[in-house]
Amino acid sequence: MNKVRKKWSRDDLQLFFLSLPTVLWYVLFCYLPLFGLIIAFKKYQVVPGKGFLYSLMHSEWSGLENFRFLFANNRETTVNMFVNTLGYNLVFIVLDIVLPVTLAIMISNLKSRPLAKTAQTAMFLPHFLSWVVVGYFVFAFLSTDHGLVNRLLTLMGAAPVKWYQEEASGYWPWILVSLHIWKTMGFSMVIYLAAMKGVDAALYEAAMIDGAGKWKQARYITLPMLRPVIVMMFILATGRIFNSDFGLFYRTTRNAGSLTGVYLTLDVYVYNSIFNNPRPVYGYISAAGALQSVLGCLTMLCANGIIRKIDRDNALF
Amino acid sequence: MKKEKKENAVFQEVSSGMEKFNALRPGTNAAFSGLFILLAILCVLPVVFVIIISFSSQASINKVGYTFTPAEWSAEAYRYVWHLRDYHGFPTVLRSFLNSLIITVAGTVLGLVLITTMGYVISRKTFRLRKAYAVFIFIPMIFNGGLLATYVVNAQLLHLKNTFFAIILPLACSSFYIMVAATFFRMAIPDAIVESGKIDGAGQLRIFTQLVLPVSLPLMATVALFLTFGYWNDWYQASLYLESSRHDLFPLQYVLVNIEKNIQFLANSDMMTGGQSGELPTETMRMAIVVLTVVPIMFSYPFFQKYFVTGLTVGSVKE
Amino acid sequence: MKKLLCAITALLLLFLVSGCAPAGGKGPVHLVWWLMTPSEAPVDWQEVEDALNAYSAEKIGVTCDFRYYDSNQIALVSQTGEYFDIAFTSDYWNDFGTSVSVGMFRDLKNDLDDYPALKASVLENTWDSVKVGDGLYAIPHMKDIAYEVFWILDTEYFDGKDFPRKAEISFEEIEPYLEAYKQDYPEDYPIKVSYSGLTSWQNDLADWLNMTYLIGLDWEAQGTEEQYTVKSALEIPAWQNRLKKIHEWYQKGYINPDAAVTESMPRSQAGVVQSGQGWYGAETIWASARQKPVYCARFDGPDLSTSSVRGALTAVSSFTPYWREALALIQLMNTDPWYRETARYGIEGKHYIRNADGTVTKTERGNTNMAVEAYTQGHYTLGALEASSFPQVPTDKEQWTKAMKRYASARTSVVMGFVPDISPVETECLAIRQIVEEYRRELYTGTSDPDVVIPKMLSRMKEAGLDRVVAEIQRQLDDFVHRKEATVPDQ
Repeated sequence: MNKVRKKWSRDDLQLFFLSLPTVLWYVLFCYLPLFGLIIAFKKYQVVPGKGFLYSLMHSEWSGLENFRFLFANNRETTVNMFVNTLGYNLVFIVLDIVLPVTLAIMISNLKSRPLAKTAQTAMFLPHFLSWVVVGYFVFAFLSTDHGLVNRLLTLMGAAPVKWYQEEASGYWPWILVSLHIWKTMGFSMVIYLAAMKGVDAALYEAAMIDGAGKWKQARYITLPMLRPVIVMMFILATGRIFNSDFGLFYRTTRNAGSLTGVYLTLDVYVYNSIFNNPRPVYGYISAAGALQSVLGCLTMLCANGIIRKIDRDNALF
Repeated sequence: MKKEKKENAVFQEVSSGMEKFNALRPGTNAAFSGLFILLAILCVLPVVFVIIISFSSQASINKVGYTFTPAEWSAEAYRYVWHLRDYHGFPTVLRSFLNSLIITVAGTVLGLVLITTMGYVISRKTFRLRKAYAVFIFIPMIFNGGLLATYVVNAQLLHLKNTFFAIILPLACSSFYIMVAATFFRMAIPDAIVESGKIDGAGQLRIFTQLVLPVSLPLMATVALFLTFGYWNDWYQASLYLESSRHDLFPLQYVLVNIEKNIQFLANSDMMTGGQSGELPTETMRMAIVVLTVVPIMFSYPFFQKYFVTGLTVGSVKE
Repeated sequence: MKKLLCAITALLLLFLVSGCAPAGGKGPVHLVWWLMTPSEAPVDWQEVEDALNAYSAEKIGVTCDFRYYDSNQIALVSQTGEYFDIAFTSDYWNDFGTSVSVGMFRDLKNDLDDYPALKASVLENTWDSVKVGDGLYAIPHMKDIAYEVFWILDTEYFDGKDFPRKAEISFEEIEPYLEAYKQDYPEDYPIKVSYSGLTSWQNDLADWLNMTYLIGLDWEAQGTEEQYTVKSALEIPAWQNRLKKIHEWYQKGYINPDAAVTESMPRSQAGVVQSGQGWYGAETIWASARQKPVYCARFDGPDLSTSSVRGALTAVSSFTPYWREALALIQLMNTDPWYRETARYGIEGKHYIRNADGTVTKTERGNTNMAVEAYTQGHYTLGALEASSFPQVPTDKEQWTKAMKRYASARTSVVMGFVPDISPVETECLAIRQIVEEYRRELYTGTSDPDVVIPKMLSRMKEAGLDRVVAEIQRQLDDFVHRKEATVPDQ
């Protein structure tokens, strides 16, 4: 059992100094700016000639007023917004664990190491492309008159589809999920591969001697050893369940009006209402961010609590 | 099959023998290989596409749109970028490439130091402040002070404006990677090692640098890869903290983003009057910029990769 | 490892030191001037600034640090209270209205008499638009101060089809031109636009109070009882009808089908029929920019309103101790031809050449290294004009005199100088904005059917509180009108 020692041991002191630079970094770059959170509860107004802090102190409190704008639109839109945000994230959380782990195990068992290395490098490539660029060639594929997909369809005798309009809205959830997988697969794989590398080879050898085949090895050695990483990724992902990958939802769909129902998440909504505005209302942006943070935090603590009951050691707290 | 020999060479020979015994059935292997070839193609194709477009002429794009077989090949986008000179006549891209290099290397080194030390400290179960630290690094993952406050702290309080530090420092550390590091250290560095180090009379710092780090190469490679990638690609920090007249400090990505914005501006406004030669390479430029950003990183990737592509090879800890 | 770290730190410090060299700062009084840029300061700006400062130091004892910000950065610097003396401002950049209401800009009402040249350079009837309450808060830039929207037509093609060149064509009358092109090139489109639709198509459709949220007065109602009634554009017949026309054209294949998802349409790729906010003589610039001769025919305007004048203003900060010097510098920028031309074109010989007839031509270096939005610095009407690249499109040296004369007889808004303050209804406005954003790309490009979409938009906006917004703005407008009527009539 880990009991808190009453005395401050020499070890503790040394570890403390070892971690000091990082602690300093956090204080300067994460905790110091935290005072900005109060913008969410104030009607921030700059006082000419004075700095930010002065203006902040002298802006009037607005309580929860700033949070209202998230719900100002009609019911349908607000519900749609939350359903999209949470729905996609749930799908992503599951897929982002199942797929990379499976692929990581598969790729580490390929006979041809050169193929494995090449494939892994190739799969990492989409991570380098920004969503803006991805948006461009999704457009190249789905553009109405010159798009490659429509050209293919007409060649095959089928009718071309107006991809960025209402009629295609059934396809887009699939398109978005596929794009997400395509882009993040390689990245997640790397994390699991690195974790797998830390597994003691002796375990595998012992299993082989006992006659265990690949499948059993994966099930009884690899997966359990990966469990801490998987659990951690899962819990962290739940903390971001109210955020969304803005680039994915905004850039690939090109913010097409009639497809809004498909891709409107909280972040897209905030962006549409506030940015490209000559006078961005920082209070609202802050409020939206604060809401996402608080709700995400609560979700994460719940997830952590559930994990604790099942698998004490691996819970984050 | 003996395991006592610690010579890597012998172990390799022995384990490769075991590998043959332990390999996948040919059928499964073929299926898996086929799958990965397909996935690899799907992932590489868009990059190839981007490269092709970057080497097309804008006129071709205007006529047929994006295609794998442009009507006309041309390096005009690259020539345009190369011909951009700064005030002293030095090619803008070279200067900014150098800036990016410095920022990336310095930032990655700094980030590694910050992340691995904290990750190690948190992974020690006997550490007194362990839980406190976990909470301490956890909170910033959820709560963020916002753009204004961050800007005020960085620019006005810490006076980082117009320095490389404005880009290096804020991106150096991340709670996510600390947690990855901590998990790794917890799994791969049992207390036995630390104890054995202490018996030999080493302090925590020495244990860390001499016992722990050498066997944590997969972790360091992973974290270094992501840090490098993050620094190399950043332009947002530059746009906030580098004044628009300080062209000498601009990192590569920021320059490229500006080139693109400028070209869009020139092509869409009525500003470009007077002497101009031919079509402005707007879309080919976009792709050329992507290529210029991605290719250097791609070349550095194999360097990291050798540390974490896994297989049934030598493990880390021997009892 | 340690050695590597030391080396890197040393390198870093070296760069820091080189990067931290102080920028200029010599000379009697040193001011800071905020300007707009789409991305970064022009590459050669340092050289130009040095030349400008040498000149101004000698003439008025002032030097200046010009800072270029894009739309993201300006919000950040102005909201965090950074210091400035002079700033470009407008409705869409560094929001003029709000800045005045928080007291960011200096009231110049009493100061301008000390700068008669500056005062005289501004057209009399534009001062009203920068007055808020009792004070006068900025200098309007002389440029195309009234909204005039033109068809920009490809000369070669349409001359070849024997279309007579008219100075004015109504919006609907362009249809035969579109038809002709479509018949010749059935696979192509006469109008190719991005998701904003035809450039400036709606500038004159309402007396805009706030274009972002589509609120304005109906021009048609001028002179009637309804002339002070605030409406949403969705309820103004002219606005609706034009969109219906555009939709018709979309269905006939005159507009590129993916317009709604096209982010930008470079000038060189746009169709043979384009539109644009212009002025008398604008076709010179338009032809040069498109690299082909064009002629223009007006379909809207000229309409003079607060919104049209406020496109470009220069203001002085309220907390600067050097406001006298600031005004002197602004006066220099707006009355001294050499200073203006240098700020706008660059160094003579390097960035531009002066032609025999007094016009200028930009060099290659001028195009790439000195691309500025000239109208943001000061009067656009001051300084030599750019030469035309095409003999068929001659430069009229009297261009601006004639243009200004034309503005004198423009249709003028009845509420010149009124700008609504939306902060009491901010939340509703943002919701409205989200709705506008959702529908506007498809609406403006003709992709969606206005008969279906406009009622939907309207009902959603009402749900979000449009009526409250309109009522609040109406209240402010009525106040404004009463106060105006209470003062001496001929002011």
